[in-house]
Amino acid sequence: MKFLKKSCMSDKKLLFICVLTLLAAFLLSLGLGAVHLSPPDVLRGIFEGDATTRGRIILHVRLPRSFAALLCGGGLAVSGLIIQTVLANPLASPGILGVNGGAGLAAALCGVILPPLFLPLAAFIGAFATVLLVYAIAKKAGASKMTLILSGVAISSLMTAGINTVVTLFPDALIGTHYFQTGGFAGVSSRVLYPAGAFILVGGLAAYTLSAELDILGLGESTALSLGLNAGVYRFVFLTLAAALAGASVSVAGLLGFVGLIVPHIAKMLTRGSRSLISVSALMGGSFLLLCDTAARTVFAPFEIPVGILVSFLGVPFFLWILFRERRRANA
Amino acid sequence: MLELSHLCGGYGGIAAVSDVSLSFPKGRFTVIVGSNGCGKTTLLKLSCGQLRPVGGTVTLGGRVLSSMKGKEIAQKISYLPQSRPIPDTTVETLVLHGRFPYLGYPRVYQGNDLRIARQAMEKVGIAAHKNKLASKLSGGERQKAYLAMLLAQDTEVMLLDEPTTYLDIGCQLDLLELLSELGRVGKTVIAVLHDLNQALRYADNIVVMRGGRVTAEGLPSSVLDALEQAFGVTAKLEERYEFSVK
Repeated sequence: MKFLKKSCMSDKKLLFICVLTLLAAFLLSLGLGAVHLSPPDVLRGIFEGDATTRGRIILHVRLPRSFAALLCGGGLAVSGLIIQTVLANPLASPGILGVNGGAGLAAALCGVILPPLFLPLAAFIGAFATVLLVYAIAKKAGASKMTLILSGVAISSLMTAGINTVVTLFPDALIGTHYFQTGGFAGVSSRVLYPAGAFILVGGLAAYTLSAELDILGLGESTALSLGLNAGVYRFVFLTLAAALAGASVSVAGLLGFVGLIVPHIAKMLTRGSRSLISVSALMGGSFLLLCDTAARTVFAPFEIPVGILVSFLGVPFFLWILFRERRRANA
Repeated sequence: MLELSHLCGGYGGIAAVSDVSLSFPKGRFTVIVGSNGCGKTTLLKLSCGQLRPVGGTVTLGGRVLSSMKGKEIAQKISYLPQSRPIPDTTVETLVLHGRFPYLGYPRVYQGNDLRIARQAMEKVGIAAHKNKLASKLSGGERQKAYLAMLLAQDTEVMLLDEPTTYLDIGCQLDLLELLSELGRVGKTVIAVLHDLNQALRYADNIVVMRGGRVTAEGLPSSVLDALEQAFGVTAKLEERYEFSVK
């Protein structure tokens, strides 16, 4: 990771590279799969539409899936960035704190009684309730970062138990697949993708316009107050946004952990506290999940593993690295 | 001029500060001393509006602080808390955040802000580290970066809660020199300090607190009795080695 810290490039250059990477990842994700298509084929397929097999694959399978990965990656990354900043805890992320689990439980309950259109809203409500619970615990825990993480583990288990109960009692429920529990994009449905995508775009845009306030909040409550920022109000606004982004992502991708942990840290190293942190996180989150999903469905072809498994393989060592870095900092 | 009148307040219904009336005139470096838990930090937080008083008022230039907006207060009073999380930013960005209270929409720092931030970094001697991440600095350097942020905020009143913590003796003396100089150029500087010798040496005005109340206030030489009572110690003037800035 040393090279990341040393690199010092201008904001515009960094954003440009992130956009390029995202485009490349998107094209790669459209082209690779059970049927390999070259970039020109992909473009032709988009215009041919339902007339050819190529067009049908692109329009009905690859495009929804790629958009889902892009949006969820961006949503989870920005949600993770907000949660890490607001709780002043570098080990926090929507997955680790159980926010994804809360969203999943609400989505599971909703899947039993309501049509899929309501999934993102239900997931948001579940995520929001969990975020408030986590915040209350964080306040009680005070400066102890580990207490918060451990209570997150407990909350996560509780939510998973809830989800398993729902799935056992209602085996035909919408989210009864194991894809939901590990996180993946097989069988993305546009009925969920459209409302969830709207949530993510609106939430992401709101977070982007408030990026200066997020920076100030990251300096700690007391410093934020002394700079004239109403810390209480903004903390509530940001936690609501984080819940909306994580909830909507979970309603599409299932319980996908670690994206919200890994991506913000790498984005922070690259931006070094500049204003573009939120944009870079969103773009990198999208690229990261697109690439992971493409790898998950091509590397072991003809088998496809849920992308959540691949992300966990990358995420766990990363989590440990952050853990030990924090300990070094605390001892220094 | 910052004035406290019959001020009471604290956390969770416990009055950590009770019936404090003080006035901090312009152009003075005031040091607040007192044993642990005597309400010094609470007094600072009440004075900058971070904590709402249970009773009494804080007025700044004749206006009641609780009637002012957060941003307006931030343009007039700056506050350096005792402990803070380590931000993931470079020193320069951190110092620039001192200009946040002056920003309009769309929250972009202008050339003038950059100029003020650079001057502040030079003043406290952190300019050489401006592109370093705050997490890569030593405790003392980080404290200087925060002090530069406070200078960039350019307020008439500056409140500092134990600013010399984490600093070696050289840096401590540099900081105290700077604070007393800021007093001389017309700022109202108020700091909580633990080192009584430094407090007596550098302050224009000393406030002694005990059990949430002010037991003495005045020139360093006039508060020695109160100091002895507040800390349960005896003060004696001796001839000895003194460290001072070259």
